[in-house]
Amino acid sequence: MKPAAWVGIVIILGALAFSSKAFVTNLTPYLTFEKARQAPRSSTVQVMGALDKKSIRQQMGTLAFEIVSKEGDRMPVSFKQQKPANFEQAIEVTAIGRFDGATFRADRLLVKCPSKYQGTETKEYGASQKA
Amino acid sequence: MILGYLLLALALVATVGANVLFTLSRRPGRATLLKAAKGAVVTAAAGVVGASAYLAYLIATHQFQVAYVAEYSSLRSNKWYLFAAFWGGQEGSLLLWAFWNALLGVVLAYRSGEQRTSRVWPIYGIAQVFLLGLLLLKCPFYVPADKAVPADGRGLNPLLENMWMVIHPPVLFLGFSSLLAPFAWAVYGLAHRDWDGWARSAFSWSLFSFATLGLGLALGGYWAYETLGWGGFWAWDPVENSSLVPWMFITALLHGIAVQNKNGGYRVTNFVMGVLPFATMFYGTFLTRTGVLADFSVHSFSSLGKDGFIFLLTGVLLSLLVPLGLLVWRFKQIPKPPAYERVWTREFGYFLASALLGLIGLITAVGMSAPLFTKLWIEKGAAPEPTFYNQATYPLAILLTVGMAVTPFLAWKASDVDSVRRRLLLPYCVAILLTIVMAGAAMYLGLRKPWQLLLFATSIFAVLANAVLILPRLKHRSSRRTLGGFVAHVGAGLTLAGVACMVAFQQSERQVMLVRDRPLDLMGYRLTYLGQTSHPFDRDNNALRIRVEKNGRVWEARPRFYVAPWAGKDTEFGNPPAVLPSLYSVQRPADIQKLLPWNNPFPWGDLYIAASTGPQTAWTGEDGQPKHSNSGFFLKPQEPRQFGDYTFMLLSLDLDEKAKEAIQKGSPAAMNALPTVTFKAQVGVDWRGEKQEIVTAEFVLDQRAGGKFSNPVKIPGPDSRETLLVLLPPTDEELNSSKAFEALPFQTMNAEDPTEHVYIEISTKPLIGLVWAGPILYTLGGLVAYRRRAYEMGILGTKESPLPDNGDDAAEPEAAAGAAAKSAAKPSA
Repeated sequence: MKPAAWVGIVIILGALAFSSKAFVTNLTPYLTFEKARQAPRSSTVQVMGALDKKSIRQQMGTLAFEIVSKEGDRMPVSFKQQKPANFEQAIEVTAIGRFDGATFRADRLLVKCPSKYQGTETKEYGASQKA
Repeated sequence: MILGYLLLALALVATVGANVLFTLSRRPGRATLLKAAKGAVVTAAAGVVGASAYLAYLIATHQFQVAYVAEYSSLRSNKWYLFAAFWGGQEGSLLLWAFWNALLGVVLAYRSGEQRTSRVWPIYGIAQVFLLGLLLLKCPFYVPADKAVPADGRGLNPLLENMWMVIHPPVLFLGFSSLLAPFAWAVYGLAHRDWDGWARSAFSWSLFSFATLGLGLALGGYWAYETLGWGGFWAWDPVENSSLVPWMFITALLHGIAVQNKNGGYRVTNFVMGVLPFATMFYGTFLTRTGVLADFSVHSFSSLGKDGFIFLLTGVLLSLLVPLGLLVWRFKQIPKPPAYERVWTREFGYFLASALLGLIGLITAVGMSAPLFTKLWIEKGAAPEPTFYNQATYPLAILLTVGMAVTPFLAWKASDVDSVRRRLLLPYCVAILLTIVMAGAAMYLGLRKPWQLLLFATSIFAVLANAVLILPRLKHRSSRRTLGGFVAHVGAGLTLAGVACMVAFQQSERQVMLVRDRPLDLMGYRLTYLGQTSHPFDRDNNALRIRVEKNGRVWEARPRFYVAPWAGKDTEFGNPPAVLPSLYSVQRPADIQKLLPWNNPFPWGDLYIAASTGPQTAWTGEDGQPKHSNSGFFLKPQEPRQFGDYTFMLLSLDLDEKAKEAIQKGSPAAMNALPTVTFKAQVGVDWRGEKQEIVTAEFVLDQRAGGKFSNPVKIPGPDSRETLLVLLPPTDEELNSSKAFEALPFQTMNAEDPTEHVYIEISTKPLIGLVWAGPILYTLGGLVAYRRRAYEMGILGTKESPLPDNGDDAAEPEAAAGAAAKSAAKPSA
């Protein structure tokens, strides 16, 4: 084989290895609350549960609430950004972030609301790392 | 409506007819059928254009009996947003896609050369038949039977009512549509064993796709930056990715074809790259329109339904598997001459460009498909964070920019290497020196992270290296035609350099609380919130007034904030940012000086301020805890309530007779069966004991439009500002409870309150201008290169030119313009 082909192969294999590693470290899996509590602080994970509407507290720019899993497990969540529109009507909330030992600190929220005409609608709130 | 269906059906029949006629005309002695086939293509185009005009007419005349018109337009929309309603939904954007396909199909039918048209068009036609079939299935002309005609439509999502939504989708869909022709040519080449002819024809098409799709992507980024207020232009969202992936592949294709046109190299790769842009665009459409990614994307997708799902999935599989199967079948027959003799030639440089672009496309495609394939080992699937795309594409982008800087200085063919080296050594040294100077300057200014510095340096190198090649070509008309590739590379380099600068130098603060009239020092600025220009329900005019002071000079930033009740949907909060300097501030020629760097709070680029929340006031709740709300409070009948400078008392709640009946029956939810219910709350208002008035605040439950609207009412207050009282709609849950009307939620707007404050997000956007100038240049470069190749192929010319066997470059005298000039039109980045 020509040296040039080797250059191409090295670049392609290098890129694939590098991107596979990036893929694995940046994948944010949905975890159960139990697993999310044990996950390392450095990795971003997603948890999902029904919103306990009575637990919603809003104070000085922080939104705090609890979500409940199907098994009845509770997870307190804090979100340091604007409260999503119609948040009280949410049926299900997905929080993306990490557990800090006491609460789940969400960088982003995906809020599923009942929508009269389209079944349900999911919207995202909060900025992630974007260019 | 029936006319729309008929026109689309006509287009469908005529397209099928064109396919049959083209196929029959290939038999000996049947060449006369070719004319009839072309006539059928024009008829089909007329059908689609007619259907589009008819939809525009239905929207403009508010024919709300048509479901699509009622869903995406409304009486309140101004005429420009009515235009945007055309492609505001699924069905309309499919029609826009078919519209461009039909027009480009006419070009393909008339400008492809006599014998080849009859072979390539049927492939194009099959895809258009497929699209028209889908369109008849999900038709914008659908009139729901036995449903009352709504008095007004629901209108577009308020966030989409924006000038950029008028321009961005047509350009993007033109780009999408233009991917079909290169695909058809590639399949034609495989089917009819025309290994090289297809590539010559696909060359100009792919340049056109590169320019239009690239421009469409940039316009989408600009729209996000200008209106969404999250401070960026690219978020690696599935919708963005599904446009980026085909763009990467089509750009890889045109680099590959440039080599194939010279020496017949890269035939197999080019077949793959010819098929992928259209196939991945189709795949992206499938991902984003069938709801399979619904849990993973910001864009709320309405599903095309089960029929649409099967239809699109079939299309994706066919467009990918049939051509690739054909390629495997033909593989052994394809002659594969070596594409390059030495590594330091353009042939090899273009190969690297194709490989890198293809890899970026592949990585992005894998990332956006992650929610599907990760289901194999993660129950619910998972999407990678946006950081995945940044990390995985960063090294590739660096290699790509190095390639853009080096390859234009290489010669075609190994034999020319020495002469080119002698001639271009000097300009190249100049470019390298300038790059070192600029990278040094960037380092001095604080660009220290190695990866960022490297990307900045290589991008600037790509810009300078191509710029020094542009200058000598500006002299002659004939050499100006060859500028396209260099200009495009300058544009691509500038875009990437801009991204590197912005990421490296950007300063930002989130969730900054500004209390009214109380200055705050932040990031070298003194910021003061001065109040609102109107009130949040005033969607067109309301903005937060924020005074920005620096070095004794004063500016006012006006980030907008509005609450838009959107019939039948959620209430939308809009927070388009204030961008200083703003192009919109230039009303007269003399205003241009406002844009000069030293007249701006941030001389290096934009100062970007967005509202994170609307104005709020702090107040003490019934449990004694400090609460935080948009000035909300509850009123119980006949109980006075103190709120700021006001005392309110709910005097009575007035309901429609039928609604009262429903409540008396003990089920407020039964009101949902009524077409509209209006709640009128009479409230006594007292302001500081000075002014008193009884006002009626109301809200409407409109079951036909499916909305809940509040109509704010003006209440007495200081003369300087208009204060409003809003009766907030109850939630569905509250409506269903028997205590629904024991306490009603209200909100004041603009009330004088010393605790009034807002949360804002502020950031600097250094050298953001590069990110916008880059796409303008790569689009221009792409169009210049397209113009050259399209004339060569007779696509723009009046007569069909004969097809030279080896492109025009070979015919040029070697010595005339020098080795590099003769092959100057290196397509693009």
